Amino acid sequence: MAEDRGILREVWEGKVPVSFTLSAEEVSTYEHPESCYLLVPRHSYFPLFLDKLQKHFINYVNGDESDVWLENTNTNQPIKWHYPVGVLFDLLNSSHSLPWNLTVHFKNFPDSIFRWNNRDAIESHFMSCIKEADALKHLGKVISGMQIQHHKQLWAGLLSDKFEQFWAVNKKLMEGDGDESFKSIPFKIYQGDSRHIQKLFKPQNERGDSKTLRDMIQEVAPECFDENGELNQKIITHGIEMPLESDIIWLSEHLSYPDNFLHICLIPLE
Amino acid sequence: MAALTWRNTVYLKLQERNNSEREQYRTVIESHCKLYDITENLKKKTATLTDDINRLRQENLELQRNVIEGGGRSDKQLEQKLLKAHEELKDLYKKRGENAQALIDLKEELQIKEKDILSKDLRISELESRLNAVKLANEHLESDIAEKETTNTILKDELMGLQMAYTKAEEKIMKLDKENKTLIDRWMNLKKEAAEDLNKENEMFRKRKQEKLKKDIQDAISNPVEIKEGSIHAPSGLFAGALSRIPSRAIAKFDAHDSEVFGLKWAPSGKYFATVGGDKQVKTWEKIGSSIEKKALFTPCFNRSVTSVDFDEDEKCLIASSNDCSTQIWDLSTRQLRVRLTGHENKVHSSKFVSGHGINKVVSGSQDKTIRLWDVANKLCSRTFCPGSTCFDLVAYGENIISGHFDGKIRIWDSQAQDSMTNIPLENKTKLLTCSRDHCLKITDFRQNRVIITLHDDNFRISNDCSRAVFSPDEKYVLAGSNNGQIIIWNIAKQSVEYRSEKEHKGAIQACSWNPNGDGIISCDLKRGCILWGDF
Repeated sequence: MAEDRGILREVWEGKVPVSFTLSAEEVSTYEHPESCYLLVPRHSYFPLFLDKLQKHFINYVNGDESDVWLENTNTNQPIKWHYPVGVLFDLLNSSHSLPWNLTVHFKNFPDSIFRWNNRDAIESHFMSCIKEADALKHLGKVISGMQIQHHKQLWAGLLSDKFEQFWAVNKKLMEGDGDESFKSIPFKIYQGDSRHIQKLFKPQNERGDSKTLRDMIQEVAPECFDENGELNQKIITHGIEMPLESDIIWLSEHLSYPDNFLHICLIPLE
Repeated sequence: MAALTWRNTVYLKLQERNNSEREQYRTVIESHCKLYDITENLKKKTATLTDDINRLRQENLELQRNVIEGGGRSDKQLEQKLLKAHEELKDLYKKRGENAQALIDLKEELQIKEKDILSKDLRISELESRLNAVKLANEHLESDIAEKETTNTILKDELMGLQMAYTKAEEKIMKLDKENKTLIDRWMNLKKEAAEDLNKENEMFRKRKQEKLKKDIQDAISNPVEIKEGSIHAPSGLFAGALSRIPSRAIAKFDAHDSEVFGLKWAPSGKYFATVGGDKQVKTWEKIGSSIEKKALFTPCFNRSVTSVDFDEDEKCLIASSNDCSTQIWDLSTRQLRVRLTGHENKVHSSKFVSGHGINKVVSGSQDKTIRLWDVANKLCSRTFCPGSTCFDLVAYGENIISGHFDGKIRIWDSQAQDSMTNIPLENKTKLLTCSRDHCLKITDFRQNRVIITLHDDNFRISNDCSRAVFSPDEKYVLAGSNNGQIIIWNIAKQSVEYRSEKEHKGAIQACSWNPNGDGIISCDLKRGCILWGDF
């Protein structure tokens, strides 16, 4: 049961400072624009902030405003903005320098990211993630039993950053199916810039005991442990290292992103 | 407790994270944003102000320019006026030149006009002289008219006189007409009297005959006759099928009618025969010795040429038809007219008793393209067939009527069935002889429904549409007359000419008839003549 509101609220209120700078090559005026500084909620998505960026930079470029894309300034890699902001931050800004520097481009849209310039597309992506997670947890019964207005309420809560509005509905998704807890845990494990790992993982063993985070890492990504059973990777979600003894169902209930997935980043030790 | 530990760890870490990531930067970023907004606003304001300055400068410049232009304007205006005046002056000079030219032109025109007037004056005087001449002529003509009028009145008077004479003449005509009418009436009365006289004569003739008959009977009664066995001759009707003998010469020639002889026919008994002719008469003849004597004349006569004649099987009646559209039946014993059948709308070419019905059924074919069936007892037409083509001859046997037509077709009718039919089974007589315009005689077999024998001869030419050919009584021969006056007999079995006579007839042979006893042929031509042929 997702009852620990203290935790939930702390998680919800996580924000990262981001500095958006217009790519120097694309500036068409003699005056260079100021960088745009924003506090972006970790559970949000970058495409939702494109409006502000366009407004800020549009007077300084010649490019098509629909071709806006973002680049990680340190690594010169395009930002795959279909992942939540927090995940991207934990994964890409491993040096943890604040604020996070991103470069804004209006030209040469790369092929490796989705062209998301309207909110319906993001919404449908978000909803499909929720449905996928529910399919893993409850075989899709809860989300398909909901009315369409509740679906809308989830998205509206995320958009307007309203904790109560979102959790009023999301609560139901985080409840077990009667006495039974979740069928399996919806999670995605990220390692570097390669594709994420996603496997079926039951939260209980044959005896009915709850599994811990350690159990899951051992089962899904055993290469994270060396011969002595010591971790050789940092296990990070929401910007913090997770205790390995944490109960996996509790983690899923409290530390999932709004799309109902546990997004876990494996960051190598120094 | 363990659970609490990691939960607390997480909680603390989250708080720490929020502090480090969010709280530290929040105020900075917020103030940054605020400052940025302020800068933006200021930029905008500066821009508008710059615009204003530019605009004002522009206006100032324009005003200065206006002031400069205002000083130079009056000079320019004067120059312009001067130019305008010069131009006006030029225009005026031009106009003066034009006017002078116009003056010259007008003068020329005036001269032309004057010339015109002169010539016109001349013409006027000329015309006046002519007018005088015309007036003179007119007076002359008026006097002429007066003269003519006087003559006209004279002529009118004459016309009046003539009209009066005309009315008188008309009156005379009226009178003469009246006289004419009275004369016609008188003539009609005389005619009536003559007819009555004729009737009386007929009556007298009948009475005389009866008296003679009575006398004969009395004579007969007074002279009893012995009757020997075998002396009684069989009735003539039984001779049908008697051996036919080919004649060798003409044994008697006589003039039967005053014009063409159109038809003739032996009585079934073979004792006498009937002829009809263009003189509207129907006559019967008898052979007495070597000459032919007139037996009877059937009255009343037709009004036009008689075309065909026929006897009934029992020899009770005689039927004849005429071009006057009628058919008449006489009683042979009393020689009285029994029935006159009228209804055809054109010439009746042929009429026959329908064999097997005594004298009660008669069929006739006409130029009006119909065939009519008559009920003699009720004196009415019981049936009309419309073959659509002129019917020239007929054969009537039982219920079947066979007709020959102008269109070259033979039609077979059933007098009881509703429609015309072919393929009628004829019990005994299955052959039909036809004579047609192609100068051929054709024998048709109805069992096969086709022509089985065609007979012809170089000398044989038929004279007209109504020429007729016959079978011999024993049906071994076919007899026909040619238009050169010959009679020709064919042998059917050999399909060749058996006998060809001398050209005894003076004209084209119209019809011939074979004595039912087989020993006499009679033929008639279009030039009054009739010939009896025999071998004795």
